[in-house]
Amino acid sequence: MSNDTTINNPFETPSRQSPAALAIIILRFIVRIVRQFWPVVVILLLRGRSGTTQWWVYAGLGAGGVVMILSLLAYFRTWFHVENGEMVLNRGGLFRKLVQVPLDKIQTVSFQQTFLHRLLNVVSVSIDTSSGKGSEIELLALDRAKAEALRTHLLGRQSQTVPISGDDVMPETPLSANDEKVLWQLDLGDLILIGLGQNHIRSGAILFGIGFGLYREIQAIMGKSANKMIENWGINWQNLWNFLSILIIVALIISIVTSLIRTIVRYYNLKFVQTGRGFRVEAGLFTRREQAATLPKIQYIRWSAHPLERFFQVFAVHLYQAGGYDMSGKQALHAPGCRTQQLQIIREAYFEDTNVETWTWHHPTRSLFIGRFFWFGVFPFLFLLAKTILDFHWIWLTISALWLPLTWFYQHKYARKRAYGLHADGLWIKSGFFTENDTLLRWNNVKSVRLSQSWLQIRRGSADLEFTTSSGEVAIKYLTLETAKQLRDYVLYTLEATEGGR
Amino acid sequence: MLFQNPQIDLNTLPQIEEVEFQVLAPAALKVRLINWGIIQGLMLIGMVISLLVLRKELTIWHFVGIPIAWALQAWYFMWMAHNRYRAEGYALRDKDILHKKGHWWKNQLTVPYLRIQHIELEQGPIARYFGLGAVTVYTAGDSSGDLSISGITYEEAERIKAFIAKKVGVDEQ
Repeated sequence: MSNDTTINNPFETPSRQSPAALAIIILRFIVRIVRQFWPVVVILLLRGRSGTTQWWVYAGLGAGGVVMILSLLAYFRTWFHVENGEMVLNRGGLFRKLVQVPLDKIQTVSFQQTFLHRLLNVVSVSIDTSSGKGSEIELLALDRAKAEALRTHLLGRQSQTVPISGDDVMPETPLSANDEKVLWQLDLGDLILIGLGQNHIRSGAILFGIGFGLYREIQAIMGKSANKMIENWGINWQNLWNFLSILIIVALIISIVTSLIRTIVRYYNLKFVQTGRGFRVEAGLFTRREQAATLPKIQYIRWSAHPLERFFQVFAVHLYQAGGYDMSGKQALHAPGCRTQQLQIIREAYFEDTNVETWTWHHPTRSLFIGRFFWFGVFPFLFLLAKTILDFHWIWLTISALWLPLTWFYQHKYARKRAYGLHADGLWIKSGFFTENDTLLRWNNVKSVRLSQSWLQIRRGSADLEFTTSSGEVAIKYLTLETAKQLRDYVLYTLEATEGGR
Repeated sequence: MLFQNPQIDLNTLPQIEEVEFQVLAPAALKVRLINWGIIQGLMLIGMVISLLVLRKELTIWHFVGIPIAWALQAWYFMWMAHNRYRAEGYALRDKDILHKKGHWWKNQLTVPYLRIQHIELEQGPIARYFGLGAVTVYTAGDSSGDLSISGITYEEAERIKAFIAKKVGVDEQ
């Protein structure tokens, strides 16, 4: 008898995916074939008009038949069940594969709904571990109720097993396992605000740069006739600034509209839900994603706000949970539009003591400013100066004159904004000038510690500390060497003295 | 005092500065110099062929300057191979493994045994000739947390692997 029968296991018997999976398998096959052979299909369609034998119609029908047979095989020969503390997937088709994932290795169970899933009222389920090889198990379509029951069973079973890692001694949230509370939800007005608040100056500058680059390419090919073409448009040195102003405004408008559309498509009807075991995010206009993060799996959290968001006191929240290197992007939960009170709930769920006053705060050494000012200020200035001397133009002179004071101001602010809060149980990093970022890391999520020093840091007695987690690195730049060594020894001590397993 | 928690005296914590690091096997330097020789030899052949092919278009300064530039970079990388060899070291403590490296950019990585997922031994053809090997310990997630020591004797690599496997409580292949 399997271990799972001692506890109620509704997934003990092998079962198939929802019949809707068949439609999704067929669609995937068709998409794959079209992607591979679309140029051939286009050529054949064009030739077909000449009235020659349309053998390719029969080939298409044959391919369709093969797709149907393969899809049926893939659907009817795929089974999943849970037994002996493992999620088991027998995947069919022409090649058979058996996947077994121990329940205590499962990091996340995510749902996704494409447009087709929504039409068929099903969800796809991805089950991931920290192996870094993508989703270990993917079920193409399950009824929502069944998918929810599977997720509860898989993640619920983890909490019934004996903790094997320090990760598993995280504080529980006040909610019971089955309780859920929507912390915030975004309506269209919020989405427009978020979309408008994106970094349009950067996007606009990129668009402007691309446009200018294209013009230089055209000029190289067309020679003087490119300039004539521009003169024909009525543009000359007298009204160049008007033209450039219009160009910048157009680039900004395109950038704003693009960001707005992207924000609405990605975060439409976003719901950030606090569950008994952590958090869940649901969002998306065409493809609706549903990602869950259980508290023991969250490695570190980050929240950020650009000036407009700070004005409205909203933040973008990022929860980084355990996952392999390739998975780290996918495993992170991103949710904009979080208010101060909701942020406090998330912070306290992850780290009990988030009162800034009780932390010990440090600032980076002066070397941070010196190093960055040297690389981003002095070096480019020397190039600008050479350019001004060799190829004089008042624009280069103006840029050269402004470069050093501007970079000095920016790097000074950049260094001043960085601060590191130390606590017996974790680290709090504050950084960023335009967009302010806060990162919170619990020491018990650290996998390894790296102390590194550049040549400048060796000379000036400072060092960087990097803490590796299962979801990437969190680094403290330019601590004094003494503090860095003490902190490294302390973090290793907390990891090694208090933990009983991996 | 660095922290708010008054129960811990930082001066009593085990300090990595007190650890005595093991140096790599002397043969590791030979292997690195062989690799250096192969790369520099290929560059030298490429340079000679280029100079011969383009001899009609080049001046005397090219024939003097380019070999000098090659010799300077070859000397620099040989000097760096010695420095890197001297700067590299490893140590095993009761609860973690340490690895340090780098001449201009120094870094020291520490991985607690409790965080190790699995261990691997490696041996390339040149290393096999000199009886050298490499041991790599892997942690969960991002590969930047993995620790790799190459240029130790294969027997030493096996001993390290067996020691860590015992500490971690797994029998690695």
